[in-house]
Amino acid sequence: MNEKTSPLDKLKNTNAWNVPDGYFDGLTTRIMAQLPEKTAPETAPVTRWERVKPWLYMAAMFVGISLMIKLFVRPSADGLDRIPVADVEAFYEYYEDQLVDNRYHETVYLDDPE
Amino acid sequence: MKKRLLSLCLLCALSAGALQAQRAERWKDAKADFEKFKVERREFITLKMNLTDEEKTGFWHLADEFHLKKFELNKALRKEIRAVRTARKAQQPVAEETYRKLVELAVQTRLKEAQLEEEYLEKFMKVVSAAKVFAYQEAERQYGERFMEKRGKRATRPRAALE
Repeated sequence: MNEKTSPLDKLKNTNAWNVPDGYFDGLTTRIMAQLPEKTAPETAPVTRWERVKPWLYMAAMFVGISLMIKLFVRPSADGLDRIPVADVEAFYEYYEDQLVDNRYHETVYLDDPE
Repeated sequence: MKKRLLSLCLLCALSAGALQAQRAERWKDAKADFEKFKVERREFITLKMNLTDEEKTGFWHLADEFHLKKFELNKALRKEIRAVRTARKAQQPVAEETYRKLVELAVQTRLKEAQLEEEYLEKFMKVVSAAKVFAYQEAERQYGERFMEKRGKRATRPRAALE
């Protein structure tokens, strides 16, 4: 009995895919030639403001940090140093009223002639 | 337009800076004045009390603490008195309820001040002798009188609470 031969059997072990001769020769040059011309990007002129901006922002940052430190980190003050400058006048008034309100000052204390 | 806006911002910043500088100058004077007051008072009273070097630190720490606490106690009362005084000057009516609260607050403040004074007199007498505590009270009064004279006021003036 004859085995039926398939036409595909003739193509067994043969590689149907092949590269045209000289395809890879000069491939890079051919591709580069097909690419559009590369134009240099337009460089906008750098304004003075653009140059000063980063320094200004940095200065503002340091000012902000120092203000935050001043606000949140108070140097330890002792005694009457703890009275803020804004309250000084109020403290003077309090001090005077303490003297005036002291009911003993005319009767108990003997005035020492100075 | 941008230039005008920038000029306006610059003008505002300069004005704010000038105002801030003026305010800083006034505060500098007030601070210097207060420093002078503290130093003079301390020297006067230390001399009158005849405090030793050992007694000075302990005593002044307590004396300042006492005045600070008393000053804080007094603040609420002062605020209410000031509000009533302002209303009366502006000839605005002051409610009966406001006066009642003010009078009660004044009494409560005096009671708390007296308790504070009692507490601190005990503390003072642990650091200095009772005779020196007596001398302190006298010296504080004498310095207060001098201080008021300097400010053009009399020590025996009636309390100007509700003038």
